[in-house]
This record gives sequence, C-alpha cells and structure tokens, in this order.
Amino acid sequence: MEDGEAVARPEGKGDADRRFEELGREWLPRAAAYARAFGGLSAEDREDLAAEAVAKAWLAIDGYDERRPFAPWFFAIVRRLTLDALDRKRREGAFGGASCGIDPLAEAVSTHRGAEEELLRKETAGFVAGFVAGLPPADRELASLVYGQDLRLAEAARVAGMAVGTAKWRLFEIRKALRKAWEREYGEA
Amino acid sequence: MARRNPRRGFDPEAALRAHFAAELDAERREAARRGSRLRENTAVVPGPFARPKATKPVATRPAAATGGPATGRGRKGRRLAESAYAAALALAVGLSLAGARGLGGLGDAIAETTLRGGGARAVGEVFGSGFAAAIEGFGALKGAGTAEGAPRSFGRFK
Repeated sequence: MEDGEAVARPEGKGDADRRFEELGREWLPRAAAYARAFGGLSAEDREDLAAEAVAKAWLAIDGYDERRPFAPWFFAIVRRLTLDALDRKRREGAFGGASCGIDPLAEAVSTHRGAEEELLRKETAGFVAGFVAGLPPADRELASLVYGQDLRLAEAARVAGMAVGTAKWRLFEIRKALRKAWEREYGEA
Repeated sequence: MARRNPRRGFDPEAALRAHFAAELDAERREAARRGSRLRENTAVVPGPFARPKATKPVATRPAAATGGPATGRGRKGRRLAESAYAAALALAVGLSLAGARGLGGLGDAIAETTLRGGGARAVGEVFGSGFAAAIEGFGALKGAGTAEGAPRSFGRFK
C-alpha cells in the first residue's frame, strides 16, 4: 500500500474499520455535494443517496484499480444512483418540488470581515448561486465536478459521459455566461 | 477622491470554485449535524430492527405518551427508520452480491469488524443517522438470522 492514496483495500480488521470511517468522513459530504448539482433532490434524498453510494463503493472496492484516481470511480457510482433517484422521482410525479439546496449557503457567514466586505461577499455568493441554479443540469454537473470536486477535465468528462473537447467548451461557455451576467447586473467586471 | 469599485476584478472561475466549495462545506456541516442528531435519536428510537415483534412501539413519541407538547421527534424517528431501512437493504443486497461473487473477504471484514465489532456507532457519528441505524439494524439482523460461525446462505440467490 502506497502512502498518500485516497482509498485502499483493507488489510486487516482494524484497518477495515479505519478505512471505512475515512471513506465516509471524506466522501459522504462530497457525494451529497455532487448530487446537489443535479437539482431536484431534497437534503434527505441526498443524505440517503450519499450513504448508499459510500456503502456501494465499499462493497465494490475490490473492483477499484488503486493505480487510478479514486474520485472519478466513486462519482460514477454517485451519478448512477442520482440519476436513478431522479428517475424514480419523475415517475412518482414528485419532481420539481425540491430546491437544488442553495439556501444553506446564505448562512455560511464569517464574522471576521468588515460589514461592507461581508455584504458584497454574500451578494456575490447569492448571485453565483442563482446563476448556477439556472444552468442546464449537464452544465451544473460538469462545473460541480471540475470546480467543486477538483476533478481534471478528462476525468470530469468521463464521469459526466461527454467528450473532453465538449467539456472544455462547455466550461468556457459557463464562465463566459457568468461574466456576462455579472456585467449586466453590476457593470464592467 | 473616488472610491475603487469593490465589484471590479470579478473572476468567474474563482466565483464558481467558491460557490461549490461553499456547497461542500454546507454538506460537511450537515453531515456533522446529522451525527449529533443520531446521538439524540438513538436514545429514543431503538432502530428499525431492534423492536421484538410482540412488543408495543416504545417511546417513539414521548410527548404523545406523556401528554406534553409535540416535539416532532416521532416524525424524525419514522424518517430515520425509513432511510435506515433503505440503506440496510442496499447494504444487504451488496453484501449478498459480494458473497455470491466470491468476494467474501471484504464482506466478512465488514460483517465482523464493522457490523458486529461495535464500530457502527462510531461510524454513524461520521456518516449520519440513516446509514448508522442501517448498519446497526443490519448487524442485529445478521446476528439474529445466522448462528455465529455458520456459513452464510443467500436463499434462492445461492
């Protein structure tokens, strides 16, 4: 087992416990955050989905090639579960009721800033959250993988099921659209 | 003297990174909050598999039992049980598949160390209520359903 690996197979009982805990601590919130990008899932849905993803990843870890990065492999599991969950919701006619869950961000406030700076930061955060919420789901997912989960472009494209060139172009378009929207709202950036 | 426009220098990539980092932070806080909610709930709700069949439901709604004001804890408990059931089923199916595919080493490691070894509570504090209750419930189910050391049987899937 090499140092610095995100996840490796357990070698013993104590090792299995520790690795299982590490897997959950790091990847449960990341799974939930990635699932947010799809929209349409409540916090409870994301909680269940993330737990299921971690359980599935743990059980399937023998199929994970440790020479490759763990994140794309894991997010492929999360993606399948998320799409299944959304499909179930659509079939049940419950889709559209839940928000994409951006409201808790408004509460993420640091108390160590000046009032004006803090106001601007909140305003910017709200503006960007609104912009991201309005993106098509595929773009939101791609941006979440690259900017939120720090996946490389090729990895994110593979997880999202698109060509690398398309992913690169989509990200460029997203940044351009955000800058334009900002300039429309606040003047020259 | 004119003030510098504080909105100048907007960087879309940095703004997007900040947005998604804040989302991840929100999920981490939520996971931590669920961990503390688990400790609160496990004192009241015994878990989806823990109640013997012949026993009346115990204290899932303490306020209703005592005539006090509603606290919403009963509803929390039901939701906990539902999500736990779903996660337990996923885990059970996964373990069955792992066993059926000859990946018994990993499955045994989970069953013996994580499920039976009392690690579920510690894991639950990290993982959140649904999954922890599922692991505990599944551990209880396994303990009740199979004798210690007996070979596992997957019924028709064997």
